[in-house]
Amino acid sequence: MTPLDLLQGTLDLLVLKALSWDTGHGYAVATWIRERSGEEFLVEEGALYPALHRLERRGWVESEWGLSENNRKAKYYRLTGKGRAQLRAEVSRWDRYVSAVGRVLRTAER
Amino acid sequence: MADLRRLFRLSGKEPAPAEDIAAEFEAHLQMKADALVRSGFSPEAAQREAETRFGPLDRYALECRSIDQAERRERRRKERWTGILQDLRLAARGLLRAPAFTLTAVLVLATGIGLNATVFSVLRGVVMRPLALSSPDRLVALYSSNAAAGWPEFSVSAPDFLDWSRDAGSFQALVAWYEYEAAATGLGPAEQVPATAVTSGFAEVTGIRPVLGRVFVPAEFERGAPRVVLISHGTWSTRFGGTPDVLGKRWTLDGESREIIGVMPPGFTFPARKSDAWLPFQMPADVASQRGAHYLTVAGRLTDGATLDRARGEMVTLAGRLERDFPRTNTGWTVLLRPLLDDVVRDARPTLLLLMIGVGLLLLLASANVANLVLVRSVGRSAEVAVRSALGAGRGRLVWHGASEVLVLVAIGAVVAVPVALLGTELIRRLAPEGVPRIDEVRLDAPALVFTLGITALVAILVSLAPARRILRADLRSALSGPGARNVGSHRGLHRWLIAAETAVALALLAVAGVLIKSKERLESVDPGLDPSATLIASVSLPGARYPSSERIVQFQRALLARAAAVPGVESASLIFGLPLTGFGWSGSFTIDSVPVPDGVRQSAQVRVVSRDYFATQRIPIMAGRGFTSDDRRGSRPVVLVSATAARHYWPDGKPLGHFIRLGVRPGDDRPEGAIVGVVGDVRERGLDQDPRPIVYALSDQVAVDEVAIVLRTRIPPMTAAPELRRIVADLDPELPLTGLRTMADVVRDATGSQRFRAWLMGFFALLAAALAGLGVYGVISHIVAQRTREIGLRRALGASDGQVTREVIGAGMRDASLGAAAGLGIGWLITRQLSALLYQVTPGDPVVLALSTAIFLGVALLACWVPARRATRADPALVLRGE
Repeated sequence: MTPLDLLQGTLDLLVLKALSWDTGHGYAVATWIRERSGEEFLVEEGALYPALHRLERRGWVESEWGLSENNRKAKYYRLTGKGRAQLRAEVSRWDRYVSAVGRVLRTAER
Repeated sequence: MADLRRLFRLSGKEPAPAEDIAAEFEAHLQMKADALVRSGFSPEAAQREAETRFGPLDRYALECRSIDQAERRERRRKERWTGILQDLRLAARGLLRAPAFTLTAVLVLATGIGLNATVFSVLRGVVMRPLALSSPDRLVALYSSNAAAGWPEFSVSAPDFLDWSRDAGSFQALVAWYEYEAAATGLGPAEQVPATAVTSGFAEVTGIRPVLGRVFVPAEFERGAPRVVLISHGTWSTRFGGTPDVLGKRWTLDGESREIIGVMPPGFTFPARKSDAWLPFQMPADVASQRGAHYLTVAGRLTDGATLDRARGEMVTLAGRLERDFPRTNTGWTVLLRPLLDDVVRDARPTLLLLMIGVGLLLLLASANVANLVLVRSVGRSAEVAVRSALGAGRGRLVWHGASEVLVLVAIGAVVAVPVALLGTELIRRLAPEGVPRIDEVRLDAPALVFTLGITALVAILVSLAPARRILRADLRSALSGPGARNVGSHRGLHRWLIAAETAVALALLAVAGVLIKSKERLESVDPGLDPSATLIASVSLPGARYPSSERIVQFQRALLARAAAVPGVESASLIFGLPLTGFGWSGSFTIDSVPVPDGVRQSAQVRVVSRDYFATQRIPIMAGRGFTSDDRRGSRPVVLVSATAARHYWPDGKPLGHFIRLGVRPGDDRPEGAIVGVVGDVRERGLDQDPRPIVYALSDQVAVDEVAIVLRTRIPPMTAAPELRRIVADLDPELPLTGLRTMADVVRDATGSQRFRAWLMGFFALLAAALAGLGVYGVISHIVAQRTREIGLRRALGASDGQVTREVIGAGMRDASLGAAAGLGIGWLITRQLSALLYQVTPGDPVVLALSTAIFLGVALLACWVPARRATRADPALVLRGE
């Protein structure tokens, strides 16, 4: 199967979700998404960073420099309270979206 | 750290964004490569693979950067706003801590702003607001004008008006009207209502449609047409219940029942006078013979293409033609045109402009005072400013911080100014003299308030510049190094300017007010030529429908006078047509001993008709010959009296007695001939500031006039005779309204109403100005003294006497005040010179007034300097030197 292109705006949602478990640097977020998605998405790892910076600008995540597990200097991102609320809203919107699309598609098959 | 930085307002160094992003990406690539190596890649392959999976590094870096930059911009903006709000909060808190300062500044500003909004509202409402008629800028007032004869603008005769209407091509329509008081009966007690008779151009010139019913049709201007009336909105709602079935109802005016055909829109006035009834003016049958009788007011609506100049040219040509066609009546007469709005507001404009200048100067003073107060506060703050500056606050922020206090003050001042202005407009509406057009409709108006606020904002900026200048020049080290050094480099120059400027403004206003007050005093002390004390007046006008003949009129008037004279407390009773100082009366041309007057020569006099005892009642002296006696009756030989001015003017030998004059009392009158039997004293009937005109008095028994004023001289307070007079009139004719009951003293007072209004208001403004300027000088000197406390203490310790110190402080203040005083007198003179038309027997540079105002203000300034000077000598030198 060919990898999937990411839908517009979905990356932001995935990043928020990734950070909802724990503080992490960009590489960790990328790894987390790749593993959880079963490597289905075709996404350059670099594309993650504009998303992270955008989320930071909106005040949904905040960042701080720190040391990684193997002593490398890395920028760590953390979800803010506002970001958590945003994630909840996005998830529920995503669910509605998916189920609505699904209903339509199933109807068409009949 | 970021929070800490914000706390101290230090401009912290932001990390370089490009490096930041590069480091972030680098970390990612390293971690990825590490992971790939662990899964079996060679280090070189791992590096390559990591870069491939990352994608185009530059593009992502650029994207991140632009996002970060936008974010930084946003944050900065937000911080700026929170900073501004914080400063305003700080300022408000600081002001609360200094209640005396705040209260003074707010009151001073509120007074200045409020008075400006008030006067500007009145100016807008009365002078600037367009007339409430359709395309009012096309409307023009037209007058007959004969400057050589002393009538630069005069009423228009009916035949002239008809010729103008027919031939004036620049006008879409012309309308002529005359205003009078009509007796309204049939709806409860008889009352008098303002009524206007208009010609057929009324609807077209005003462009107003009734809210109910219709306007007049041409047939209704014909003689003998059914009688109709248009009523005002006010009359409709108060007298006729405001119901639509008013159309077709009837209203009795002056004894004639009229059908109501329409209701005018609310607030309709034309051009500015309130009227409750408009009636079609039907030209008399012999109108052609009345070319010499000027009694109509005329206005016109220009056609769309016409300009005022073209219309003027055309009308002047037309008047020239009438001069040639009717030399006897029209020689020397031309036409004067003026925009109707100018015409309406002409008398009010100079007064209101004067008041505007007055309050403008007051606002200037108020601002200067607040500037000074703020300045003094800012000096106390030098140390704080220096500390903040040392901690890295930018100059912009420091200046803004200083200005924020001023803005808060001005904002509060503006809010407090609203009730001040509301009260002010109400007061002006009540105190305004008779005859200010449209004053009833003046309201505090939003544009006026906004305009004033705009000026105030400007003032606020100027005011906040004072502390700003200090901040920009502040020398950190000297401000921080110790309390003694804090006083170095004070702004003595600015202070001197403040004293001089405030003195100048206050003295200018005092001088203007002084001249106006003196003018008013002069005018009020003018002898009107009659004795207005203990005199009751009222008017009675007899409707022609029920008093059709001279006999009926004379019979009524004689009965009325006889009964009024018998009232206990009444000394004498009389009547006059054309009561002095009320603007009523006719002027007429006459011949002496039947010698024809050459064409173009104006031989005319004011015509007054009086009853026998009039001169005794008004205490006007008989100077030669005799007064009217009971032998002068209806049917006996007609006799007249002439005033001293008439005698001097037309009989240079001073011997008018025995001559005969023949004059028209009313238009179309049969011009009875009368023998001059006496000369009476002059009366300033046109206005106290106007020289007496020639007057000819006829006797009411011989020349019946239906519209007269009753004059009673009483031994009791005049108004106490009013109920009895009212009862007598109601007894003689229940349908007759008795109106205008007041004392003659009131009439004389009203004649100086505008002079008094101007003098009072400007006097009030001048007092305020003097108080403000006094406060200002006091503030400045106090501040200077406070700053010099150490120096003064030192000098006193070294042997300087209290007197020396006091003299020096006062001397410095008064030197600046004197400079300002000289400038102020100049400004005052310049303003007053523009007012010479409003002044009576006072020159703009009246030395007494100028000396007095200078003395008053320098007295105030002296007091303002003396109090702080004394305080300086009270301090104990030992304490002063030991302390700060």
